[in-house]
Amino acid sequence: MSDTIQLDIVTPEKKFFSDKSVLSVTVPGIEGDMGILQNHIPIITFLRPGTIQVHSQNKETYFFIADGVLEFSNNIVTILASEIYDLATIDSKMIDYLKNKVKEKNQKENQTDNELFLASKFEEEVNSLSPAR
Amino acid sequence: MATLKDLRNRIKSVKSTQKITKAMKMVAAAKLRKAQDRAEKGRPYSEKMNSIITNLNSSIVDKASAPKLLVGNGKSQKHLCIVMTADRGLCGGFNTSICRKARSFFNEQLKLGKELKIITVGSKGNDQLKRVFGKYIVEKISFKDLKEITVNEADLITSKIISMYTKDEFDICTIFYNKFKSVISQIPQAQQIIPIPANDEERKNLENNNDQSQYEYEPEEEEILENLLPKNISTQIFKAFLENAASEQGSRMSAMDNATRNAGDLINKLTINYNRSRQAVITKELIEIISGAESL
Repeated sequence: MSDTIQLDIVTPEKKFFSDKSVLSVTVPGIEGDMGILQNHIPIITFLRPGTIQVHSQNKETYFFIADGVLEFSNNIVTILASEIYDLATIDSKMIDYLKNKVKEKNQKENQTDNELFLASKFEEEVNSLSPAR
Repeated sequence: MATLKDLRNRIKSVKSTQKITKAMKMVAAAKLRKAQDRAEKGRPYSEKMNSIITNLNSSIVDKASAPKLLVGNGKSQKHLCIVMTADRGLCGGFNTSICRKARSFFNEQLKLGKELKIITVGSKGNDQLKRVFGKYIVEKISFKDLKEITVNEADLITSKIISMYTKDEFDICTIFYNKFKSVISQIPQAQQIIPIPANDEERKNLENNNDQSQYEYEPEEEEILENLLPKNISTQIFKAFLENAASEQGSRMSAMDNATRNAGDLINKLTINYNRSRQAVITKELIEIISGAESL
């Protein structure tokens, strides 16, 4: 019981996910994937597009995240995401929508290096998605 | 004295007005529930964002090299004000209270000899401000046709603000909106978003439990800030949108509730009046008949 952490995922619209007893979280950090267990040092990092893996007591949950910020302190993980989807509910319609997003992002002008990097990553990740149902 | 027909017509028209206000109240109540929900669910995000920014802010030692969006460019000559109001009227003092707050701020700044630039979001604010402050309005934005405001709209405004900032068109940016407290109480807010106001109290708090807030940053602080600050502005604007939406519906609901009640009172008064004059006519006729019969 005591080696769990709390995970909150919030989007501008709502509290997307909240679980008080998560064993570990694996997130796509901007400088590489990282796993967070209990008593990790406090950290603030950007996330790149990718999959978040949440290990709970007896199940694993996967989320697809477009971009976000992660904060960890006092054994509480907070992920601020602008767009996030549960991989178990993703369907072909959603993927079409995301592919449109990719096009939009590629057409944007005057992008910074960082934005370009994120856009290309996003494209890569979206293309690797497949509908769950 | 008004004739019976006039009274009847007035009663009829008040009744139909009452029906409209009642329907508007119902609609506002239904929309309010949704808007309030959204506003409340959106709060954790903006709060978290704020706390991360404050954390970062306090951990930056070298203020000179910090991003301009955070610490400002050291001047306070040019003010940009973003006045966010509704697109529709008939919502009590909602639009007026925002405009009043904004107007007093404008007058204050003008008295101090500052330059003023105004962006109005929502057509009602523009209507109210353009007569006196029309020459300061640089842009009017309205999302009248959209059913629901999303993050994209907030991003749109943010990118406008930031491009203006990089062109050095203003030094300080403030947004005006109504914070939703309850159905009957909305508080007009003036929130400075560029630069982020240094909150001494929070900073002190942070220093007190410094050992906890020693964060590891990945990538470096500056880089995080550079990317996070535009996002923060967009978050704050989105929050303002949500709060505004809830406030608008709440304000409309109570205004329409009042209107319905007033219409009810008016109908009662008119009905009494109507019945009285009807009775008077009957009495008059009786007297005429009786006195006619007596004179025979």
